[in-house]
Amino acid sequence: MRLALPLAICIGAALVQATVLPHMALAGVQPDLVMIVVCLWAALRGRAEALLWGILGGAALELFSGAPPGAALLATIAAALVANTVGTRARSGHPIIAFGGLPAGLLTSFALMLTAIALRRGTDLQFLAINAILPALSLDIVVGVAGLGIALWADRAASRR
Amino acid sequence: MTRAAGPLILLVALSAFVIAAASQPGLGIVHELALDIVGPIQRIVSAPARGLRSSATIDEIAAENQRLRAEIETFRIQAMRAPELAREIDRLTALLDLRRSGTDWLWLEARIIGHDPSNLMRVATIDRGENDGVTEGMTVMTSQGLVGRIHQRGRTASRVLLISDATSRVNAIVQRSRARGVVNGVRGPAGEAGLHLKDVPQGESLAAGDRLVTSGLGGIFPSGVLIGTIAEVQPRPTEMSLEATVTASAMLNQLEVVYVILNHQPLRLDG
Repeated sequence: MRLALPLAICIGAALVQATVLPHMALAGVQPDLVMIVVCLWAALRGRAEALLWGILGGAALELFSGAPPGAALLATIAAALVANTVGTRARSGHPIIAFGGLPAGLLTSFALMLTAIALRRGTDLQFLAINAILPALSLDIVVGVAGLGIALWADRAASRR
Repeated sequence: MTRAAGPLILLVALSAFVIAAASQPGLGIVHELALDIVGPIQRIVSAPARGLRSSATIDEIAAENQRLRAEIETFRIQAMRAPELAREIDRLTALLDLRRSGTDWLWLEARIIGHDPSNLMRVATIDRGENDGVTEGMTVMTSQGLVGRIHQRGRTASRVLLISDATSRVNAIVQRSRARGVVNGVRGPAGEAGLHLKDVPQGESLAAGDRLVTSGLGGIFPSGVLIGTIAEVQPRPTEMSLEATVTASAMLNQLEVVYVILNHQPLRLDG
């Protein structure tokens, strides 16, 4: 397992997410690009790769994040592991069913980020859950569906090697 | 898996170190380092990204436009502060030689070069840091009103916690009735950056259209900075306090250039 490509993808995605996507936000939310990439890949691949992508994606997000230190890292690792667990179980049927790992992973990351923010500073959890997480989750799933074809193609290419 | 074990163990250890180090007070070096690394990159990438919102212009027109806008910003800031300054003059006149600090603000212009990647946080990255005299807690605003405060700073870039962030709290005062309350950030149904006024004692006078300014309580923000305008007062007859929705004066979703107040140091109770 090489580090350079996943690292470049994660940092590139985080950079785009922090600089370009805010200018194209829909209804005030933008796609969580890093989380989508990490969860899709984790859902399709093995546990070691899921962990690696979780760590690299989390570290890339930490570089740009103003959230409590370590929150993005932990949330991404946990999201990758959950997406991998759900995806691996679902994959016994059909690879596309492994897509279920994406919402599971995203929900995990949102829950952990929300907890970290609330623990550190105290905030209205219900309010953030309804007004921020729901629209963000919906958008992420739509973007995830669009990216699923690429993820499946990359999965097949990586498996052939 | 055997080949992967080494880097993975290293990365797990590194992430554990990052989390442990960052949670220690005074060890914000991790975030400072991250800002120093990503700040210049964001500056480069954000320049074309800004073009996504506005079409490209000729250099000369852009330069002149920038100069004129800077002048307008200065005039707007002066106009915005006028009512508060007038009140202050009255107060000073009445109290003879009592002088208040913080009336002559020293500005530092800064460009927004990035935003927090999470949808849960409202944090912007600016292209000014410790090298420009920026320190944590400094007030950030535009000519329209309050934007937030410096949340983390590196040597060449800093992060600003916007007042629309759900964790932001600003002590406010209604300019007309002098009623006091706390403003915190909310997200509207369409994702717009909104504000919410709460903890205003029952019996105080609140009305739609009232202007809210910082009260200076707590020592974080200087007094008299425009926060926004009350959009709607929520009737809460059975509650101890009044609440209202507030429209932010600054265009918090479309920030490009902001100003850091350099000569108002936030008070720190821990010394």
